[in-house]
Amino acid sequence: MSRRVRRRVAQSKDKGKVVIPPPFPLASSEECEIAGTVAGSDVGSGEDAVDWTTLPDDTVVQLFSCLNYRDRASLASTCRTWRFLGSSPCLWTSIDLRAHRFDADTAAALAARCGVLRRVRFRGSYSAAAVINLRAHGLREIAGDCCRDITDATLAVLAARHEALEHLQIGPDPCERITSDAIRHVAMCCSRLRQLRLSGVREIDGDAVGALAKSCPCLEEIAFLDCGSIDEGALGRVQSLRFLSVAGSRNLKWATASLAWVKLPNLVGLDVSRTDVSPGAVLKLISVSKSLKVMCALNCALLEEEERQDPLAFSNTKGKMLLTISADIFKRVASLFAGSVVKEQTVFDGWRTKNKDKNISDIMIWLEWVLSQSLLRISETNPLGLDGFWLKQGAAVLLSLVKSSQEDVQERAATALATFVVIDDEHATVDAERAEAVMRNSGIPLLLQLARCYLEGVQSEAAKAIANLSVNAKVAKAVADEGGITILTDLAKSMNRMVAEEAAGGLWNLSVGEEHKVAIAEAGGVKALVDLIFKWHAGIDGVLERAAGALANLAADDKCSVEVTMAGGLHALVMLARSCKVEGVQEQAARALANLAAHGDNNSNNAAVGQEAGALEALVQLTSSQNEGVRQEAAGALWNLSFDDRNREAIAAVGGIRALVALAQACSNASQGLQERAAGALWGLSVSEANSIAIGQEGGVAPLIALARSEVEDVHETAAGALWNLAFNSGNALCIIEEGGVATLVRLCSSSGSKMARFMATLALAYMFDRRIDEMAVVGSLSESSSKSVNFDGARRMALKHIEAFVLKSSDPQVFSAAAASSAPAALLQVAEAVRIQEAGNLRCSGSEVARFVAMLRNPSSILRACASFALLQFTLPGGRHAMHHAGLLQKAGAARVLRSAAAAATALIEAKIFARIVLRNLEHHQLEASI
Amino acid sequence: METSTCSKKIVQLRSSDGQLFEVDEEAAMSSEILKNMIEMGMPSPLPLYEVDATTLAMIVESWNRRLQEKRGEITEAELERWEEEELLKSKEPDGDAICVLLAANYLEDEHLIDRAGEAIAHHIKDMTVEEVRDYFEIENDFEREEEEKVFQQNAWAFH
Repeated sequence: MSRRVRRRVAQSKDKGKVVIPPPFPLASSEECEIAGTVAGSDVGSGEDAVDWTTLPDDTVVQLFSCLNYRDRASLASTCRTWRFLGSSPCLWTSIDLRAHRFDADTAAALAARCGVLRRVRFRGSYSAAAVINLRAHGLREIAGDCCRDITDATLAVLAARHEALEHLQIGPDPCERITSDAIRHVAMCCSRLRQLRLSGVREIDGDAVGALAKSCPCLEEIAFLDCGSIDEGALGRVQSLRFLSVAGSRNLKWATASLAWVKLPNLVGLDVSRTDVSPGAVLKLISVSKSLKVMCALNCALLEEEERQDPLAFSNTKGKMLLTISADIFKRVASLFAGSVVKEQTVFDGWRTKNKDKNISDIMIWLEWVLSQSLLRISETNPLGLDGFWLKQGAAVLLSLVKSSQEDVQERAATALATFVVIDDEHATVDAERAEAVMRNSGIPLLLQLARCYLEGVQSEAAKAIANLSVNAKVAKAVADEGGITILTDLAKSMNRMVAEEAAGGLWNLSVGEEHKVAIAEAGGVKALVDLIFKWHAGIDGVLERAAGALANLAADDKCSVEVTMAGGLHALVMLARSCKVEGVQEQAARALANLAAHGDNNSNNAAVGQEAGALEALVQLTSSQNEGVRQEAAGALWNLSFDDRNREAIAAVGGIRALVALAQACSNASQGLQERAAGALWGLSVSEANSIAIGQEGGVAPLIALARSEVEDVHETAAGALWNLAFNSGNALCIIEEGGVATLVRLCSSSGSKMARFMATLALAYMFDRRIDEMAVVGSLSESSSKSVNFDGARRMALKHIEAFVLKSSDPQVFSAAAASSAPAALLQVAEAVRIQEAGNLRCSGSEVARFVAMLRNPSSILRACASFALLQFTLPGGRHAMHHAGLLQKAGAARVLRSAAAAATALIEAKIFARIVLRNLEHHQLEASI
Repeated sequence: METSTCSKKIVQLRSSDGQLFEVDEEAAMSSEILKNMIEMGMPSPLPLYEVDATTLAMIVESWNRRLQEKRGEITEAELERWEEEELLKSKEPDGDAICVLLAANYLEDEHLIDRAGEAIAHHIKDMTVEEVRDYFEIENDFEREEEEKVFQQNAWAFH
């Protein structure tokens, strides 16, 4: 065997440096470091080299046992010795194949190692059929999940091939195709059967139960959950029975049942939760059965009704423990330990660490199992009126169960924790009180600890619980404080899809608020999420949606958005937008791209998105999705992207204009979000005149006018922006008039709650009536259009009147008269600040737009002259994002002279003069700034 | 015999590279092999042929801390955190867990064997076969056909 030895010390940085050993005793870590450098002197001596062959086999086997099958397979594939050790029988006495595709081929590959197999868990009916291929004839325990389609034939073969079977569990999904025949067959083949748990069987008849009674003398536990009908009388003949659960089963005749079951001489535990058990039957069982110790009856409507009417209805339990929704569960369970001192709240913990009494252990193990079953079911159906139960004790009981030593109990309890907090599936509403109840009972550190255990089934359920709970901001903070972000990031790297999916969901929920984004990025979460997309891109929707959703949230933060790009996220998200067919994924990918592009000049992501091959085409395509969410996010992304000049034209080049006009046309009944983004994207694209002409030609004017009529500020503001850009072009301006847009714009500029909307509507009207239309001599054609004949002059008068109202009403007349009286800079400054529209500082005008306002300064209408100086004032106010740019354009156009004459003109309105003076002062300011 | 007469019950250990360490006898008893040597009355310093000074220093420290935990001077959580972050350096991609495991194995310290085993299991999670070989410095000694067979036998685990 040729195996190199490992020389760890060779990695020491202080090679060859000899240091005198420290004085004894060695205690502090500081001194250890000194000792560490000592070893450096030994490099190359080979004496202390590390050799794996010195490890005894059982240490290596122990290592194997801490790993999942995937890692075991990697380890066993390294060399002969480890392959041999990896096949050690003790590693193959119990296997859980739920995370794997367990079919006949897998079973055949495993068969050689399964000679001693005692226990198998699997998922899916095809897996049930594959079990026989393991050729594990000594199998004692079979447990299958998700076996909806399992047939009598499969079950019969399983029984026939595994005669030593002691435990058989198929559920919790209903086995609707299983009949009494199969159960009878199981009874006859498996005479050593001790435990039989089946869910959702339609009918279990007397013959089947009779066969169990006759052929299985060791049968201690039966659970027939959620079954259609059970021969309750026959169950009374299974003398060996110690534990019976019929939770959720329907059509039971309780009088017969109670009569028959009190005669079971060994019956210790009975679970009738989620049934219509009658108070009388319960009382009979409690009072007559001699052996019964525990009765579990959670969520039984008739019992709760009885307890409401008479709180003491079940107070006399004759030393038996009865668990109902209104009972104090911890206290009652503690009563099992009569004689010894137990703390009620920690009764489960206490039992797990201390109790040695087998009888009590049997009861507790069974109780854990039935409680986890019932609580999960109850959390799923979420019946009304249980708030008090969950807050007072339900959450605490689940957290106690999470610590169970039974893996499936742990999983179910974690799933129930993830489920019971969600009170409205459709809107994923998490009940704050319930989430906080989990937190109060120290559930967060517990779940995080669980998420780190090596059982992947438990891991994924714990991660799911953390994810759901984190919708609540307080819980999210606790999760972050307890180190949950690092843990979830680690889990997101898991090779197990279920684990990775739930972890990504957790990061998605945690990334909603601003607080945790940076922490997620710092923990390496961005990279982990991007890698997830590359790892699972082949149609694994749940993972992809969550990963893209989390990245979308993270991308909303400037710093994180840079990380997303650096981690290759851009490529990943574009890939999803291009090729994924699932709407949820498309929506999140588009939202992520929108957020990436939302940081304007702060980083180069916007341009980078446009340069990613196929990105813009994909987004344009998505605007015609069947799904409204997808359309909305795609339009939002295009809106943001259009801020970049090159992207804007590229979007137009790939058909974006037609697509977005079509979107605007079809969104009259859509959500506000979609309406806003559709108008916004057209606004963004219409910044160039060529695009705005194209938008007009595609028929974009009418839908934009319709959107401008919206009552919602965000919608009509963006629509007004788009119409302003469009109106620059005379053809569009005419079209706006024809389509009745004047009234809409007039209404906006007089009554919108948004100053920006009023401003832009005013500017649109100014463009429409500054006589360019007259110059183009198209008014004639206007009057010819008979169907939409518009009173052009009337419209113009109305427009001017409202422009005047907006421009002149924008400030206090007293401030104006003060400014008019003195030309002191302070007075001008006062006016400038009074009329400033904050958001207008973000608007950017092209040279031709600025030139148009300069020309408007000479317009015959004094109102338009005032409007032009008002607009130029807004565009050049210091502090505006593009003020310098606009000042430069004005200088180039030689506007100073025109402005000076406007400021001095005798016929002008006083406001116009003052605005012009402020613009001049702004120009001076910027000139000064530029010269510095 | 010296150790038994020593009032402080200090025991001396000698690492493979000849460094001497003085340890509280009770702390040293964490190691089955040292416990045997002490009980047999072997004279100090007790030789540890397979543990170098670097590793021994860390392990002695870990015994001291366990003793502190036993005496209630530090909490279990503090001990665990120290073991995870300092002793096993679980967070670092190439931590010292391997050295600790080998030494713990030689010293027969069950607690450390378990802890180091867990740390290594965590490290090699999701590694490819090649990465595992690099991590442990294992040479691939499979014949080609054999390797193919191994692959077939384990393929299911990767789905």
